[in-house]
Amino acid sequence: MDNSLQNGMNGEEQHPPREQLLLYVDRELGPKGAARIETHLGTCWSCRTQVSKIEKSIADFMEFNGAMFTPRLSPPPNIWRGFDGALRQVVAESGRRSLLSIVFNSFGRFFSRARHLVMPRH
Amino acid sequence: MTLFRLKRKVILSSEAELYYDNDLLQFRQGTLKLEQKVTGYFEQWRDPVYRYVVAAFGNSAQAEDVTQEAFLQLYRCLHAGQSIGNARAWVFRVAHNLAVNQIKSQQFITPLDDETWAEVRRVYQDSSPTPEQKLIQQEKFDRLRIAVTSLTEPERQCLHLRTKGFRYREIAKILDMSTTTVAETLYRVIEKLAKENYG
Repeated sequence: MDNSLQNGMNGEEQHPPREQLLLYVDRELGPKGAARIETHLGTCWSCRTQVSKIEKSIADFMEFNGAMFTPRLSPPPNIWRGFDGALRQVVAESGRRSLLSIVFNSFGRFFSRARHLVMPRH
Repeated sequence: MTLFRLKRKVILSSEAELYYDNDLLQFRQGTLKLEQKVTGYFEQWRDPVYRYVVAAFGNSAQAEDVTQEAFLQLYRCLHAGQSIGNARAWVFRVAHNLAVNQIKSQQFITPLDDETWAEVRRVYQDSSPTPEQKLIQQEKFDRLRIAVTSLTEPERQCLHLRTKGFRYREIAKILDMSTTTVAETLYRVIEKLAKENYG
């Protein structure tokens, strides 16, 4: 996503693809690509207008989203009441399996240690 | 000799208990810590995840179940010892995949149908100082609503993930598409929004 600007036949700098301008606005270009666009925007009113339109569209949508859309999304039907119980159940299910392995591990370590105690060392 | 054996037996059994108790303690502390961690994530991210699922897949009653299940899966994976670098993006990805499987078969229901929209417009407290500016603002929102309603499913998904602050590469991972596709999709979204605003 770091396409460079190309020079035209007459040496005049061409406009970057419009998609690149969104990448520039979203800080998705690498340092070199961003610097090229920055330099181009310094001289090109047309591309600066495009960047302004992109930023205005984003700002308008965020205003719409914040004011009209998000607050009106219906709340969860059960208002998250089921989560604590469901998590406890998952913890218990996960725990049972692990507890078994812990018991086996504990006895494994115990017998390993016991072998050293019982068996006379040479 | 018998005394020696008895003594050794006592030492051995108490050592086994000690091992068991230590492991159990560590296990209980670890489980509790993990449970608290996942509960913390859940309280922090459940609303953005829920809003994403509703906005991207429609106003489904299943969105709450999908959201909760994503966090339960997070617990299971962390408990199983899986390493998760970006837990927030991971939860969104799992919720997205669950929604794809559970909700996609149903028709998308826009959260802003005509009836809801009329009510929203009625109660919206506009801070515009003059009636003319208020009218302009309402017309702008009407146009934006048309634009948002016209978005395709991938466009809606990319847009709403971007509003949650995800980078393109994160969106690409969540939606299982290339970063270039995310960039192209978001550009189409901006074009649609701009078209409604600027003609």
